[in-house]
Amino acid sequence: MTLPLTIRNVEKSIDDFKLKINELSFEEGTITAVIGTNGAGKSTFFKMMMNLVKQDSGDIDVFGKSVNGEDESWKQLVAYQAQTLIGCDPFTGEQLRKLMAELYPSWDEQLFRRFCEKLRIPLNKKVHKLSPGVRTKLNLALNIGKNTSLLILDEPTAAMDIPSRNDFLQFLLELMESGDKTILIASHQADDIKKLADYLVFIQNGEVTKMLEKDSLIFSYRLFWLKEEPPVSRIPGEIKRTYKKVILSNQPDKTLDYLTTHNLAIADEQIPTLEDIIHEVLMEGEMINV
Amino acid sequence: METLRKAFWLARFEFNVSKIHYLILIPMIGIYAVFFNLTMDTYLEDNLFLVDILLIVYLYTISFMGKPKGLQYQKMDASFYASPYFTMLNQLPIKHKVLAASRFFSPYFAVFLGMVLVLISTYILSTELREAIAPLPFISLIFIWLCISFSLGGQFPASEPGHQIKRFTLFWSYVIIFLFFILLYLIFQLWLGIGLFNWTITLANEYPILSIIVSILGSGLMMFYWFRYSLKQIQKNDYLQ
Repeated sequence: MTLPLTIRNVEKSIDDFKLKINELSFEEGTITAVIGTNGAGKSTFFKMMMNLVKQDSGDIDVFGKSVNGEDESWKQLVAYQAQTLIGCDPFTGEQLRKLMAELYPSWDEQLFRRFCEKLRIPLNKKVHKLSPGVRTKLNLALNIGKNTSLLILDEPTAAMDIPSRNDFLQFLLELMESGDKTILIASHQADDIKKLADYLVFIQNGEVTKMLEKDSLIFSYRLFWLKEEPPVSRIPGEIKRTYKKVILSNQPDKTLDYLTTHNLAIADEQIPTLEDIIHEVLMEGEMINV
Repeated sequence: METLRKAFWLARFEFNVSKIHYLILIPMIGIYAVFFNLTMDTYLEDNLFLVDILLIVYLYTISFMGKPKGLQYQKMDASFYASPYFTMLNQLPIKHKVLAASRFFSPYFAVFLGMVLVLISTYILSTELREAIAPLPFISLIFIWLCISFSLGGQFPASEPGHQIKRFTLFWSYVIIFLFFILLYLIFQLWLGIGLFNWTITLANEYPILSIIVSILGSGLMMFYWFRYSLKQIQKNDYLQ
């Protein structure tokens, strides 16, 4: 079966920034969150998939077709939402709807209308008269209406109010029920990632990790609340120590063995939050070489 | 043919928001027609260079007058200039050939309207121009100027995919424009001893059919060049915005 998206040995240099992706394959029916700090290269990564930024080397295939090839039909299978809606200012939402409905054979009018009603998006106003939040909603409505097999969303919930964000997440989950959609989403919202993602890909200093299964990643970390401070500065598996007695480990079994062997009493043991793990990975470089 | 049909559909879509901007052409046509009428006598007798300059400035200006600001070529980031509307369309499933071709309809429509109407208005207003050229050769003159306008005006739609503007790019652009007018002066005013517009009147009078054929062929080649240039820019540019 042809995978929605495969990337092999891709490199791109822009001034002194270099983005490198060894190998990534995205399976149908999955949501992958692309995570990185500001300026890490997430948008460049997405734009390369859309052939808006040309890679220096390597291959990117969307549904088996090279994005740099003569055959541009793959674009009908992809809805790409950039961070900002540009070039649409003089148009109304209704005019943009007509454009998208003409260009995407998979356009779902009912889905689009339902999304617009739910998020109260005015379609008769020109885009330049909309607030940034409503622009984002309109952009999302247009991309959801495309009803394509692959959705690439670059920070889609930025500038959105909480109720709209929740409605959007519900719509995405509903879309995934058919099992034939694949979503790539860049987000800084740990809550979005927690609710949506099956897999995580981290981008750090231009290096892109392999795909990490979200739940496995979460369960590979553990917080140990000890009753007393350990006698050594670093115990096996320890990656961070707070309040002298709280140990964050990325090798919980080894840490637990050590604590048991050395009769160090554990007051509490917790799975850390995804936000904490993301922080560790992005700020401390943990897991990047997994 | 399919490429042209789809490109035309896109141009019509754009026309929905730009049609109101074509109204700006009306006062422009009026002002230029009055100016050409007032200066035609001096121009035909003394080759007033200002008329040639303003005619070229006019054809360049009308090429982009029919577009709202949001659709025009503009600064996108520190060094990249492009049309934001083009950038948006480039993210959609539109073949590059269709996209490139679609950019030419709107400016060419404005050029067609603007050039034909200004020449006809001047012809109606100016006795000197009517004496210089009969109605049938005047049709040939309109063809010549339409083709010149399409050839020169094609650089605007061809530029919409964007350019990296480096430190001295703007400076060199002004130098090229300046050199273009110097060259125009040297060739027509000094060497041939006749103004560019006056020269085209002579061509239309003496070789009306041949002038039309050569103009169409020349502008066809130029339009193809601009189309290929546009495609090359799409392939070359990184749209990081």
